[in-house]
This record gives sequence, structure tokens and C-alpha cells, in this order.
Amino acid sequence: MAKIFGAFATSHILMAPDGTDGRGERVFDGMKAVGQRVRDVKPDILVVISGDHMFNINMALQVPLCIGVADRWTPFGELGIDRAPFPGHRALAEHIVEQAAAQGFDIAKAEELAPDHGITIPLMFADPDKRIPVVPLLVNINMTPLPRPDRCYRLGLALKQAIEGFGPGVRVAVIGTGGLSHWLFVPRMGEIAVEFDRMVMREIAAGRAEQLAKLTAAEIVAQSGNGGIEIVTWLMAAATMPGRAGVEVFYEPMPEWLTGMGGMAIPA
Amino acid sequence: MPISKDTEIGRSRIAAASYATHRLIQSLCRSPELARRLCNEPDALFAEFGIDEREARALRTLSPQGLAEIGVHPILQIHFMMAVSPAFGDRMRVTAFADRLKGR
Repeated sequence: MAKIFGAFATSHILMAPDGTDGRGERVFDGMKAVGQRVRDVKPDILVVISGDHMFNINMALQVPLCIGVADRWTPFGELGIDRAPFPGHRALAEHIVEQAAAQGFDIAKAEELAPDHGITIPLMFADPDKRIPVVPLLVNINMTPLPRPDRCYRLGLALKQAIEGFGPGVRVAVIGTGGLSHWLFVPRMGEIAVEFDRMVMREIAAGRAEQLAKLTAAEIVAQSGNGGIEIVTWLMAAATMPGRAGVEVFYEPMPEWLTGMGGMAIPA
Repeated sequence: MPISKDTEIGRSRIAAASYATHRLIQSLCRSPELARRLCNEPDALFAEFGIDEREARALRTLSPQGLAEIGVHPILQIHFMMAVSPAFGDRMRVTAFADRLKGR
């Protein structure tokens, strides 16, 4: 049996640290700390859950859920991100698709994703040498209907069950990426919902992600912005460790970067 | 033709831009040539994509305000601005931190 040795959650952007009064540096340190915690569990495979920023899933084909099944990934390379390829893991990806389908979740398969910063920035910290095979799982948070948080949580449970049926002896880590609160190119752009962000982290740290997932997508967007809905990836990662307490690794409100930035770890 | 009223993703209550406009913008990230033409020969490009004059006028402003007025998807507003404004893209680059991670 494969086993999940840790679930993690992290914001997934980095901008210039200038003019942030040291908070940019603290975010960088925090993301490094999350990355170190991922490496500490010595994963054989990483499952990374993110939104896509319309570099792969655009309006031509509006896929709600998509998993990358290829053996190798080349990053899209926006924002100056290194385009050196990294390995995929076809067997686990196909297994997750099959098992999720058996539980009522139809996930599109992709051979040709070009992972964007939602996947690749967290990987810069979790696997800077690009050695660990990655299964990317994309949740479409850009198109309607928005993903239901409670359904995302249940998909996380299905993901856990699928991973634990894969094996034997495979060590897996799950990373949910995105958030925290941000309003992107909509009214309120630049606001940070610090209290909401801290509530999200507090609930997940207390092992109450399932309760947090009772918020509707509309409620999350109203309280934390059109980008804040990315926390469904955090709920999915937390669902792979249901009820377990987590650790808040860092949080910084970053109005200069238009977002609240945070990171968490839920050890096995 | 508006594709949706789309209040759920947090936009103001205006109709979304046409798919013709969105189709052009979502193509920019894969085609530097399209981005070049957007700046140098926009009218021909807008005609090719079937973009109406109202939206073309907004796109010619090369501004987030213009894009917002016609209901361009927020993420595609970012794509557009990255394509037409090097300064906009530079602000979002990860290079400084990425180089430090590699120990440069």
C-alpha cells in the first residue's frame, strides 16, 4: 500500500520583494520552510493540486477537473519560470482517474499540460532538483460553475483512498496550492482579508477542514476574492489527512503582491 | 455575444466580453507574433478574430480599465497586460527569488 506521509498547502506566487518591509523575505523563508517539510517526508511521488491560470485550460474547452498523466512535464514558463522539464508519474495518475471515477468524480486526463506557476513555484521549493515525479491535478477555479468546496473536500477523500490503493510501499506527499485572499482585476483589488485567511489556516490546523468546506464558493469569493477560491485546493490536500491537526508554517498579508500568502503542513 | 453574466467569479455586474475577444487574448500567451501584431496592427488582428468595434475600441486603450469596461475575464486581463506591457510582466517575475534558490 502506498501511504500519504504529509499534506501541505501553500500560496503559489512570488514577486519582487522591494518595498515590502521585509515581508517578502519572510514569505520566501516560509515557502522554503514548507518545501523543506515536503522533502523531510521523503516522497517518492508528489501530487500537486492547483488552479490553472488559463495557460492550459481556457475558454475553448472548459474542463472542471484535469489530471496530468504524462511521463514528463515542461513548465509553461511564464513569469520567468525555468522551463527545464520534470518527471511525471503515469501509473499513479491513471490509477487516481480510475478510482475517482468509481467514486463519481470524472477527471479529464491530459498528456500535454504545460504546468504554470500554480504547480511550478511550489515545486521550486519542494523539489528544486526536479527529481521527484509529479502528478498535477488542476481544479478549474476560473470558470462557472465554480467548484463546490464540499465536493472538493470529498474529492480529496477519494484522492486519499486512491493513493492508498496504489503501491506497494510508495511514499506520497500531497500539496494544495493557491490563495490566500486576493481580488484580481476586480473591484477590491489589493485588499487582503487577513481575518478570513487566519480563520482558514486556524480551521485547517485544528483538523476542521471538513467543516470549513461547508462554506459555499460564493461565500468564499465574497469574503476572500475571486482568487481566494483557490483555497479549495487546500481543502482537498487537507482531506487526504482527514481530521488531522496541521501546523501553520507562515502567513503574511502582502498587499504589494495583491494577496495574502500562507503555508501549512499536515504531517501523517 | 455575452457568454455569461458571471458575477460568481467576483466581477462587477457587467456582461462578459465576447468569446471573440477572449479567444484573441487567450491565444496571446502562446504566440509572441500575435502580441506583436496587437501592438503594431491591431485593426487587422481584431478583424481576423471578428471583434466588434465597441470591444476593439476598449482593447486599443491597452489598459486594465478598458478591459474591465467590456468584461474581459480577470485572468485574461492579466494575460493581455503581460503581452502588451513589459513593465507589467517584469513586476510579476520570480527571477530574483528563483536565482537565490539555485544559489546564484
